[in-house]
Amino acid sequence: MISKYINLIIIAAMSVYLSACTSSSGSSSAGTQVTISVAPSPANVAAMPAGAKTFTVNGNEIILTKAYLVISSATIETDCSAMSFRAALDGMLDIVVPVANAHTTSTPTSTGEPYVINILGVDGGLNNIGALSPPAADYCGVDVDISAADADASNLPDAGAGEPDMIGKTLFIEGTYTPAGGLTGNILMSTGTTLINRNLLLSALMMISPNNLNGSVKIAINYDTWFDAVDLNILENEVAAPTDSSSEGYKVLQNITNSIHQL
Amino acid sequence: MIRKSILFLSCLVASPVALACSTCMVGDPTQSLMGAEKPFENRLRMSVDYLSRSEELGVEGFNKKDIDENRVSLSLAYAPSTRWMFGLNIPYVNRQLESFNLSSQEVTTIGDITITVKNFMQKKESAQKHMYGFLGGLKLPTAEEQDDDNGVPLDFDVQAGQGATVVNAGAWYAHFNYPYLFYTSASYHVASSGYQEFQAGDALVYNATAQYSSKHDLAYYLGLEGRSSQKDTFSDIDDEDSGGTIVFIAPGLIYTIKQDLLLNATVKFPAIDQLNGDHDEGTIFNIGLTYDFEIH
Repeated sequence: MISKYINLIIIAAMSVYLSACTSSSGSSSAGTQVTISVAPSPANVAAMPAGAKTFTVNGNEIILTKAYLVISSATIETDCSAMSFRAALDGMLDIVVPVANAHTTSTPTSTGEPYVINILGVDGGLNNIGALSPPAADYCGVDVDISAADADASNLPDAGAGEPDMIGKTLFIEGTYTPAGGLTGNILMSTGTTLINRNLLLSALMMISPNNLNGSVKIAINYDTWFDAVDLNILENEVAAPTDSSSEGYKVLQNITNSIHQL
Repeated sequence: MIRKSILFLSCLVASPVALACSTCMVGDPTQSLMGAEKPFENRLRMSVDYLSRSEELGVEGFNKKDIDENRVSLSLAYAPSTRWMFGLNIPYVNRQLESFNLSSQEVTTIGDITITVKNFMQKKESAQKHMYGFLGGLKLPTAEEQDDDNGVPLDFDVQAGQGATVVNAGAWYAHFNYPYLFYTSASYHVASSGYQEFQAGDALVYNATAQYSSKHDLAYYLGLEGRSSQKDTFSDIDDEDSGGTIVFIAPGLIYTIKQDLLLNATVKFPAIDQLNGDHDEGTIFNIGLTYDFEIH
């Protein structure tokens, strides 16, 4: 008799189980996201709209009519104690490495696709160079790598429309300079040189946690400092490679690395 | 009857759940709480088991995934004769996956249903000390692949099944000498391709268990359950964090609540871990009830 009741209970339980089994569900929730963006942003003059950039350095009026810089990767860092960070880097002499660097590997903390920044874009206009999904941590810095673009780089200019072919190039600058009361000269730089990476300390820790899944890093390029202490007349006629530490081109590359700051 | 039930249940030393997850397995695939008992004609047994396990894949801070699984399985076993035992296992699975980047996914659905068969080849049909035979099984791809809200399939590692048909075949041996029991089995598993171009590597699953019954209504057992498998592949590319060998040590007990109704509990600790790559499996907890029906 008891056995009969147990049988009934078990059959009922089995029915409930099988009914429950007919329901199914799948769900997902987003994880962390950190966006890395870069904008042209002058340090010493007012922001300008998109187009030619005009500014004055050491009495020379400089007009940039084309300017592209390739950021090959940006990596957010949790350990900023290394000597390579900004303060130390500013004093480094070896600012360039004469080896072109192409695509790197994307990781949860690093963009891997080169991005060509058009410096003639609107000042302050952010270029989203990548979105990361890093592990939860406190991030104190960002390591910006500058090297040549490859064919898969983002935001490549249209080489058929009068713009430079940036594949294999790290930097392209075209413009003029006019000394006070002097004759106008030309500025033309094109190189595939890899610049020493720029390590920036963030102004405040970017804390990514379950309670704060999102973050952003905004980087400014102070293009109006690129020709600081550069003899433009020598630069115009220079035959030495910019990797030559005694060249004016070398100074430009050094200035470019140092022009990268947190926005 | 109680003694006989305990004896039967002792054979489940190897996990009552044959396929504990979509990508791994340990235990005897014919074993459910009732799968290994000595059959008599028209015997029907039913069991309900709860299992909890966890798994870690990948590298911390780079691609690590933590997976937690809970499943309830309903199993039926029927012996049409003293020579054959057929089993059916229906799991209802909840899997949760959390990635290194705090994204998470969850699936709750029916898992892959398994059909098992076991034969008994000893000379005499009645109960005897030495029993042995072949075993086999067929796991069907009954777990539907689950998608997110945008219709994109969720991560393979959170799916309740692998979308593949898995065939296994092996052999078993049991030695009954009350109050002791020894049971061992091994089976080889081969899977078809599954979701997301997944191909499970072939696997050899084996176990050995010894049991002692201190009283007629209580038995303790200690077993080893292992799995050695080839690497899985996705799109014909090896998953470096798959395959290898893992052996669990599995102590447990069986208690007779009342005649024909038994409770069993097992804890499985990873004892030998030689899994490939960055892959760790945690302790498995298992508890279940088994009931004998009388079919006339």
